[in-house]
Amino acid sequence: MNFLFCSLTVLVMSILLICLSVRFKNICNALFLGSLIVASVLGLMAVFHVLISPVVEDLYLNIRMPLGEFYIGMDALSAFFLSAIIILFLISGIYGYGYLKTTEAKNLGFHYALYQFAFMAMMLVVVARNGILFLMAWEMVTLSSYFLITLHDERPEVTRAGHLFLLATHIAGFCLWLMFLIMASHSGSMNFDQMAACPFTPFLAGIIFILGLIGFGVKAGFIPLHIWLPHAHPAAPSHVSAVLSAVMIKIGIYGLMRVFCLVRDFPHWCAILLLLIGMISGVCGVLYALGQHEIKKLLAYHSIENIGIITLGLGIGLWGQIEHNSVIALIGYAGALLHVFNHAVFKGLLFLSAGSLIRSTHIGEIDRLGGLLKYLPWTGHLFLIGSLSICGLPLFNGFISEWLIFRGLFEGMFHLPMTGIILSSMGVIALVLMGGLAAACFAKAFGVMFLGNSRSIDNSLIKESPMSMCLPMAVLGVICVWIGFFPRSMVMFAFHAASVICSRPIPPEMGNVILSPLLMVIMILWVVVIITAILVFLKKKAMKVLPIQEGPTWGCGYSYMTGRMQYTASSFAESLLRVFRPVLGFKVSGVKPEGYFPKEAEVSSHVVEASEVFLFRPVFEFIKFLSGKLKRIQCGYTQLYLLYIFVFLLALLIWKMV
Amino acid sequence: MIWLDMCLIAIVFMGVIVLGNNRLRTTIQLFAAQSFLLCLVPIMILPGFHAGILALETFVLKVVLMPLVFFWAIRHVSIRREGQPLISYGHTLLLGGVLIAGSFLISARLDLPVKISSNLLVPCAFSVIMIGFLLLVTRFKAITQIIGYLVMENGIFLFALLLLEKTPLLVEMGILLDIFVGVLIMGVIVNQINQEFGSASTVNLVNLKE
Repeated sequence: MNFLFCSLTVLVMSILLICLSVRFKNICNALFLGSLIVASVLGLMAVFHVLISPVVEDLYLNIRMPLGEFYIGMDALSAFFLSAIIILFLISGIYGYGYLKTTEAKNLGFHYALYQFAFMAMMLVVVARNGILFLMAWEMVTLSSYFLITLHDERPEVTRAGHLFLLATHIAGFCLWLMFLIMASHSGSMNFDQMAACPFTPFLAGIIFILGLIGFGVKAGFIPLHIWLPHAHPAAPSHVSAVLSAVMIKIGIYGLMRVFCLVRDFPHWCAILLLLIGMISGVCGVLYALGQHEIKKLLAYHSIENIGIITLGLGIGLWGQIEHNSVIALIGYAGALLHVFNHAVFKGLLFLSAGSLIRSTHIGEIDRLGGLLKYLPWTGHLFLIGSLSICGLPLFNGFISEWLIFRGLFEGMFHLPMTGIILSSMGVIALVLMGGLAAACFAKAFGVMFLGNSRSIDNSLIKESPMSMCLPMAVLGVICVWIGFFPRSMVMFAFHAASVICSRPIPPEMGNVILSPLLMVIMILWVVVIITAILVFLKKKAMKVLPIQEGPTWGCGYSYMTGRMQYTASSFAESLLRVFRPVLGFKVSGVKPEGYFPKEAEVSSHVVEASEVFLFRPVFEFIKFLSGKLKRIQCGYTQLYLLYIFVFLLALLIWKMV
Repeated sequence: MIWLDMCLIAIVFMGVIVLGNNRLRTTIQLFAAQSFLLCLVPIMILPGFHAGILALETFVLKVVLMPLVFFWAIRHVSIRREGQPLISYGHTLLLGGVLIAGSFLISARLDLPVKISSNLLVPCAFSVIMIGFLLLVTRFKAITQIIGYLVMENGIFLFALLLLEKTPLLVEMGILLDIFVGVLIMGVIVNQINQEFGSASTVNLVNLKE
């Protein structure tokens, strides 16, 4: 706990110092990197302390704040999220230093200070033990992320994305205030321990659940509340979008989990709702991702998909908690938690490598790239590791957490009542569908960008990013593979955190029962990999004597190959998208070439964002229409304004008399 | 008592005449005359030292100093008359009549916790407030607006006379001082508007919207 407090203090000091020394670029950079590393190390020490001695430590500072106290505490749940936040902020920060070093952006010092501010605020959110402190930290996260997103605010779409983000998160913030006020008025205190000790009626718990679902769901990006997400991520600089996607949306999940700790008497429909949201977000997220042409937008939609997967775990865990089945609850929650961590790592890696790619080529559109693996070896191979992890393939970390969630859903099929069986089987089907579609999507993204030949630019001019960007990405890649090979420590950590949520002890044999089939699978695959490697090595050796001829990729004997005679990302995805046309709103426009000597033709396709076009736009248009009418009141004549006051006073007087 | 009633009615009439008038000099003179009648009212209600001081103050400020400031201002910005008002003079007068009737209605239903020295005091106070407000709302020239504001203030002064016995002298003096300073500042602002836009009309302030 003391370590954590020191870490927060270091961050606050560094923010002040950076703001004071904005003019001196070198001092600013040194301060930023130094304080980031020191604060992260201190924070990680705090996390390890919780891991070693599972005694809950609280820090109660008697600082008089408006409406509440400065009350922070660490349990395994906080520590779990804290570890993800610290790792991602540290790595993205170092990467961001390399990323922004060459750009002549104005006020980099302030950007660094805001980055530290967001870091501090996010740490504060997960350790806050008081409702007011939590909400204040929450708003601090929102505001600092807004400024981080709008670093390049000279581009109009960036400003728009920032406004959308601010609007959406403020609506969410309103719901959260309401939720915490209800909880506080029922339990008589804003402190979390008193809230946890107080029983809630199912009706009240339902209202709290709905408010929390909206409030935290906007941040987390549940469909249909996700509209800010696909706009904000491409607009932000890459290290910021990595942090946003990896940890900022996860604190929405953290909030839900914390509410599950505090309020225990949820009715059944809450779990059903959560499972349904998970399925819809997951499947729609990955389908939308398939239809995207821009790499960062594609990754943003994949964040929604992964939030769906996490929500599935959360839903089955909640159901187990409601049914007092601690095995289901623990496995579901642990799967969700581990996927939070894993998604943070591999999505961070994917965003960082996408940023490195965009920085080298200045192109974000998938269909204009190609054949980059030879020229960007670090970026390309790390992107591959991230893709394999996000698809949930074995030997990588995504597999472990998805395994746990599958396991939770299968347990649900065996031990829950009828509705539970139906929903768990639907969840399994949805999860399978998501895995397959994600694999297709990343086959498309990786294949088109890194394999084949270049489609528009001269690849030989492209240079790999500097080491200050490649090394942080490599660290994330190593973490992906490490969890994939040796899952025990993180799985047990996740179980500890899960036991905090449902406040049940872990059965002593739990770890081995869950892990033994997993370890077996990994071992078998490990053997397969080794055998394949040996065979490849032998083949290379045997082939050495034969002459090897190298030709261009996709040469296939054509005499006049051009870069455009390749599969494009859109054509790769088209067949899948056609199947899902009824749910997706997939639109193809343009003329196809016809006849033996076709004239010039063009085809374009895009996916209609249903909730944005059919749900939010009409509502916002209506509000805009109403406020347009209201604007006529403000006409500029002082006389009329006086008349308003006069009429109002007169009305008050008459009302008072009648 | 009859003199008090006559005085109050004269105050309201002065207000009505201001409503239908478009010469600025006359308007200022009318305001001065109204204020002169106003300063007689406290003496009639409660003859004595307190009322005497109040009357003297009102006389010095509202009958002498403020008109002087206004005359200086209109000389400085060289305007003589109000242009086209928002509502024509005839309609303003009609509306003023309606508002006076309305204030009599309102005051009939108002029960006040203090002893009232004249039945006409409250309705007249309300009428003068309404007339002042009507001036504020319908006129464009900054000077007329200030006079509207001061006419309204006269109404409030009349209303406050209900509490003549209970209000300390210091508070009354403070209020009057505030108003005087306010008028001085407004005089300066009128000058500034004139310099900035070339005329002393508040229509130009529409540009400040948004």
